[in-house]
Amino acid sequence: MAYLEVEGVSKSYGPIKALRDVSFSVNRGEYLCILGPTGAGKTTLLKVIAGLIKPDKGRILIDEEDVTFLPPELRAAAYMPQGYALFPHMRVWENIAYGTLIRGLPLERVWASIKMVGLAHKAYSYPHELSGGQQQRVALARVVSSGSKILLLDEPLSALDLLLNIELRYELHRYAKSMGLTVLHVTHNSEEALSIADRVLILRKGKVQQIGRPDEVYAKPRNLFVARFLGEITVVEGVVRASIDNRSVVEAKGLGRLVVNGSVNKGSHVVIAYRPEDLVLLSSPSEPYNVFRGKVIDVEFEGLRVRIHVMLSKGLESVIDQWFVHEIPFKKGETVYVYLPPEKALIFEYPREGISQALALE
Amino acid sequence: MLRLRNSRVQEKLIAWSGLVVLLIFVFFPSFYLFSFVIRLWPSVYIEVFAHPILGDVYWKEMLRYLSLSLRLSLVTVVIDLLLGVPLAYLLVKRRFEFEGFLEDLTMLPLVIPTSGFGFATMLAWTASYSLPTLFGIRIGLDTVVPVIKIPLLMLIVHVALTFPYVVKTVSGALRDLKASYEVISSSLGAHPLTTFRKVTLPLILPSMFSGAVLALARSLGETGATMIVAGVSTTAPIAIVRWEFENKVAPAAFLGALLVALSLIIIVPTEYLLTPGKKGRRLLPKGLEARLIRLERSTPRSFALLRDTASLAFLMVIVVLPMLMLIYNSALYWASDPYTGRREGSILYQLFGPPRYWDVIMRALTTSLITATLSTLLSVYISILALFLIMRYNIGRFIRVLLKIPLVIPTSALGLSMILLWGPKGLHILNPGLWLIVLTHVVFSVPVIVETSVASYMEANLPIYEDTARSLGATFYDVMETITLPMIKRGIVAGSLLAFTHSLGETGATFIVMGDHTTIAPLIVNMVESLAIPSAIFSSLILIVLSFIMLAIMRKIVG
Repeated sequence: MAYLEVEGVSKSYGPIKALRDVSFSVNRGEYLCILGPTGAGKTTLLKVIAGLIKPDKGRILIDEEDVTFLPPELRAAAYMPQGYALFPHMRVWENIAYGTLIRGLPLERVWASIKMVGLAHKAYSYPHELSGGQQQRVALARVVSSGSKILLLDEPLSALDLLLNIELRYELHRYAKSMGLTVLHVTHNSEEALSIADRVLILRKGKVQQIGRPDEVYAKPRNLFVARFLGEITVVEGVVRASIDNRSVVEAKGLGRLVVNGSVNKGSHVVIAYRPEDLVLLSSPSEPYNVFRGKVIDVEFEGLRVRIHVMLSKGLESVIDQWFVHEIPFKKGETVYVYLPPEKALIFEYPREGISQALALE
Repeated sequence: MLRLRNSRVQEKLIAWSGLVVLLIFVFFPSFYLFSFVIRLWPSVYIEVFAHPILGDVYWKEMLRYLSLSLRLSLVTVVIDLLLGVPLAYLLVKRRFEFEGFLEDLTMLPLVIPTSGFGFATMLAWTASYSLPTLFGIRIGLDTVVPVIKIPLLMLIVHVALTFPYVVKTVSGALRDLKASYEVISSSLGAHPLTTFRKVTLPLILPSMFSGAVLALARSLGETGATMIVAGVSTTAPIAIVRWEFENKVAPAAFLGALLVALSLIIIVPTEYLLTPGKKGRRLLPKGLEARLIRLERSTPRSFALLRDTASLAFLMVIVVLPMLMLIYNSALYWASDPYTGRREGSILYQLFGPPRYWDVIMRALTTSLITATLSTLLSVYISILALFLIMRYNIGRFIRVLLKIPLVIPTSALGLSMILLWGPKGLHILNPGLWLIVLTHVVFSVPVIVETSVASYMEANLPIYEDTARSLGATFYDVMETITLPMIKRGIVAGSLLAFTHSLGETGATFIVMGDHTTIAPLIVNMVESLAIPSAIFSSLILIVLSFIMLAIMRKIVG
């Protein structure tokens, strides 16, 4: 049974529609990441659930109780902004005890949660004396001891550098799971979302684009935007010429004939996208079809892999990832052949607003 | 469900009571003169414009006083800018010892009792052993600056009392300015002067302007110190005090309303114009630009040294010198009059001899301390309520702008307004005296405290903490008590100290509303007028030492 339900929530600020008919549900103990570019309405959504903003339309249900019109303090949902907003004028234990005291809960749970996050030796320190990881644990303990079951995290790790981000996000996930919290974690970092979420919700311009397991949304993005937001893609547009037996032939703009798996109506205008790891670089045209000649225009060495930019035809650039094994396989300026495997193609209907608009982040 | 009702009711209750107390204690008194003039317009009209015997003599006088006030404040602001901006630069950009002390000195005129300071300035410039006489120049109360026809001493006092506004806003802007802009400019090859003109100046221009506006309004309304150095000339605020004492309420109220309106016209539009939008600046014509840059390039780097020295000299002459002269004079007058050698003219004799000024001064000081404490406490409560209104509601921004007005209302107009509203001639709730002084001081104390509290509210990024606390189970009132107030405590304390000091030294308004409960600042004016110079010296010294102590405490607390 869904623990938190959001039903048809809309919210506008004057002419700006921050949320449009947003609906989804979250199970008890689930870790949901809400992913989207800046201005997608992520923070507004979180604040509506917390009760800090009233929606124009729609309902919020927590544990089957309608809380849409309850003030924030009466919902069991704790809101934590970036950096967790530990109260700077209170010691660690006072921070953790805050919700407990305010709500009049038994104080034993304060010490229990301090011990749970392993901060008994820091109980009398002030937040600014703690490391980033310790601050995060204080924030978690504060939520647990306040009796809240839902944790609403608003870009908690965005201010951190990459390594610390990776370290802290796993810890965050681990503690949240062990505490049995239901977490909604807002971020614009797709890697962060994909790596720790049970499910990911992608939001754009106030609308839910897709919700599902990380591997699911990555492998089967519902639209071009989702595909692009979760990782780099090579985009080819074209018109379907024939479709037989779950195979389609597409007349691709700038390339010519392209075979892809999947049946699409003949004559429809489509966009084909490939992930970098799905394209294959060849030194000679050794596949029977879907091979195109191009020129290497850039090579990015990223350690584990090498990302190669190939210009296929005028204005059509493709991005291909290769594992790095001892040496960089291709050099800038070299002529290469790119193979587009039919079974890896992501096929989308041509977006009404045009490709660049469909991919635009804002 | 009871708690739900509580939380909503709490919020509404606080916001509404905030609005109500602001209206009653701050805004009604500030704007009452308008309604007074409009209500009694027929009789005001007859008194001012069509007096059966005098005709429009009052109106003609008013125009003359207003003209002097306007000329005075405009020239003052120009000098403030010329001297204040370099000084702000010195305070922010140079690192040296006694930096804090220097900053205190700069801010001193803001907290200093104006009558005491006016008296000290008069001593410093007109006494027979003063600085100008060193150069063989004699300056008196009647010395007038040629062309603009402004009494020189008045100009000096006004500059001294208003330049801190420019220094304060400009140095604030300079501090906020990312140092990287200037570093980048000079690493791209710009001379410091070019950097200042092309990078720094455009960025601090809004603050310079708002500092200038504050200075202008303050100068327009300055009463206490002006009264002491005025001699025979009369500015508009002084005319109000005089007419009020001569019981000519109609012309006093009319002139007061004019002054308030003038301040309004100056303050409100600039507050709204200055905040939003950044316009691009057009380049000067190419040839001129190149020539300017060449000129700036040829300026030796030691220019900065010259600028700093000049700024320091200015500060010394206009702020420090009067203080030193005051101390020197109290030593001089301690046991006997330095000119006649008569014991009757000494501080000791006047204080403890038959005149018994000691008792008078102590009584006035006690009254001052009591009124300052009461008005500050009352203002703190009002300010906290107002703060929530300002931060949480849409009308907050408007209220914040309106709250600038009591800061610049001519103090004598404020005093008149208070007496007409609460006093025997109005609602008849209070007679002139201690409580009316308290209420008067509340009017200008609330904006001071609100301003510092709002500043620390913004600085501490409080909304995110408040939201977090709410979602952890705190009601509106819980948040206020456990999060908001503790986190902005320093802002409130700093504002209160400022308000307290301001209240201690307020002269213009207090003069009108104090009745028999003389406070120390007006007492000095009375002493000067009755030529009890030794006692005036002594009282001024006490007041200035007190405000120095307050400033030190403030620095200690706010850091």
